[in-house]
Amino acid sequence: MWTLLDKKINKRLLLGTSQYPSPDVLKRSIVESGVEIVTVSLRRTGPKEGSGFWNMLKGLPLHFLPNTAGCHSVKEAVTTAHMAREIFQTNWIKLEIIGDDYNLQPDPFALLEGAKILNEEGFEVFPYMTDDLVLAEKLVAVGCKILMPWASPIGSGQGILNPFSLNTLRKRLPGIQLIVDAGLGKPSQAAQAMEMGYDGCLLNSAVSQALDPVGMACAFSSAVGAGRQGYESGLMEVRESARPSTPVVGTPFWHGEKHE
Amino acid sequence: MKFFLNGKEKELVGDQWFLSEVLSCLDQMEAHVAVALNKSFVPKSCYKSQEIQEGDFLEVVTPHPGG
Repeated sequence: MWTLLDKKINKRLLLGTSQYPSPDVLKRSIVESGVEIVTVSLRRTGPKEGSGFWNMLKGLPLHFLPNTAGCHSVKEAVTTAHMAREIFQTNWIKLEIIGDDYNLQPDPFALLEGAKILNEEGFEVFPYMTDDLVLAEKLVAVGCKILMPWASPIGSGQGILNPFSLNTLRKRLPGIQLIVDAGLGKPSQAAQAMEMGYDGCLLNSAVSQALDPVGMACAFSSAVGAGRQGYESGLMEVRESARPSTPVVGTPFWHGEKHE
Repeated sequence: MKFFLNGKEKELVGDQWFLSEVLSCLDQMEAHVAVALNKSFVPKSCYKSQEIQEGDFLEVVTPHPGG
């Protein structure tokens, strides 16, 4: 059981809800993988847009993590957070403030400013960030209990581009919940993050763009669980050279003996 | 009075409109909407007292899929 803020969570996989082939596939991906936390967004109203999506999701036993996707300034992000809190009735917010449109790389300076404001207003801020240690420490200093560093750019499926940086965050911030967000493309990459000691993985495209999203959601859920169990069980240390696993004592035809 | 709703120019007859009236008139008063006026959040509790002025920018949003 994973305690995330005041919630008890069974699955450490968080799932985005965008770009699925159909609402039914999205629903089955959530239900069959056992996911309990999903991300959602706010967009302008249009003719009948959104209502079916929300009516379907709100009937499921889920925790909603609204995002500020598409925001490019602190003001936009803070206002979006306020609107999300009213609609979704939660103080959780995935704070995304984009600094570069090509990489969808978060703006670290705006992120820090926005996180400070929202933390002071009582939000639980889940900042989508690069894997920079100093930024991470500053976000913690302004009240963030959870950090969400990227593995690689959103939707790229490139996996963990800088394991050193993610490992460094884990080692230097042992008391902070760390969730890898963005860039994971394969279940093995999610397991890799979890084996590092990450607390969870958030992804969307790797599941929604799969040939079989429901199957892929289940695969990621299993991989995240396996990686976490591996971490908790204590991974062996890497050695420079081989060491036999089968006992040496009693080996027949021992090569140290002389045979005629 | 002219103003902008979700980026599109709208016009309503008369000078004094409250937000609740504008939303109702433009069929935007759904259960799950939130509103920002000139990039600032307007809580539901203020819809009836919030006046809309000429040239205001109104954003009305609703839940959508997101990653």
